Amino acid sequence: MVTPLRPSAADRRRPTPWDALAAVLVLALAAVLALALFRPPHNSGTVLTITQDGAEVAQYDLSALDGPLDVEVLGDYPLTVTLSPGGAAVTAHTCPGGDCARASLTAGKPGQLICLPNHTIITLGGRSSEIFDAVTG
Amino acid sequence: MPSTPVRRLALCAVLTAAALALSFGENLLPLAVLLPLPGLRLGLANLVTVYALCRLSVREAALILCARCLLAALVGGNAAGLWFSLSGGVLALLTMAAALRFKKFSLVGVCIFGAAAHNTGQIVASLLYFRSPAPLLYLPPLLACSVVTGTVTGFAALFLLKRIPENTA
Repeated sequence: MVTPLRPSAADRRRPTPWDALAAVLVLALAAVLALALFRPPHNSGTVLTITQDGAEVAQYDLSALDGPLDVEVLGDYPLTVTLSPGGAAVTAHTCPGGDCARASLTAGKPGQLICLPNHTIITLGGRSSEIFDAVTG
Repeated sequence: MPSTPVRRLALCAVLTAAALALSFGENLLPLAVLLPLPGLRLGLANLVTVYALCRLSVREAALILCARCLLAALVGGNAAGLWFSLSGGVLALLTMAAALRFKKFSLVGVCIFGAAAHNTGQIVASLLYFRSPAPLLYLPPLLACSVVTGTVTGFAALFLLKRIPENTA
């Protein structure tokens, strides 16, 4: 004897208005999180900090640079960050994705670049006690 | 639902292979080119998870998920990827299993919840992995994108379940 299955969403063959509610709920959650996490920057954003596995490995003041400076960050997937008085960008990477190379940081606008494969976070701007101000990319 | 244990086992194996292929295949469609968000994927592997939840059981869907994540990590040589994919996949599976019980949603709504849960699970894993709150900043845009990716996979799931009758397994 076959036990009747309890009716579920799998039995529906077409979208329902309740699916739009699901989308609205997820978007509302995204909006609430964005409002809670993003704060307007309140500093000049020229101090660049490189952290790896939660530990700070290097810190540079972009305003003190005379020209471009290449910094190699070692790890599982080494990457090269080029610093300049105008900002910073990942110019070389060895990871398969390279998501971090598609974004850059601009001096004066606090932000972050995250390289997941290399466990590296590059933060521009803010005091060391602040968590974050904004995200670039 | 498959009638014999052997048929169910065979179906699980086929679904595992399909999920693995979809997981590698969607890497050929880097959505990060459009929007540079780490971990942004179409989530085609979730399609297999939701199909398994509808045609098999939660336990078998979980086994397929674990096998797929483990094989992907072994083939890709990325142990950290196993942590991220499992955390997102397990949370998505549990969320979709719960959403499937509400008959007011269709598979589109279920997959939207699943995509959101998958991204949330991966961000939580990132928080623990990096021991820093920085990855949390990516959650709002990823949640917004999950509405789009979940809708796409939801329609694909509707088409899949309609085209593959239940008694062919």
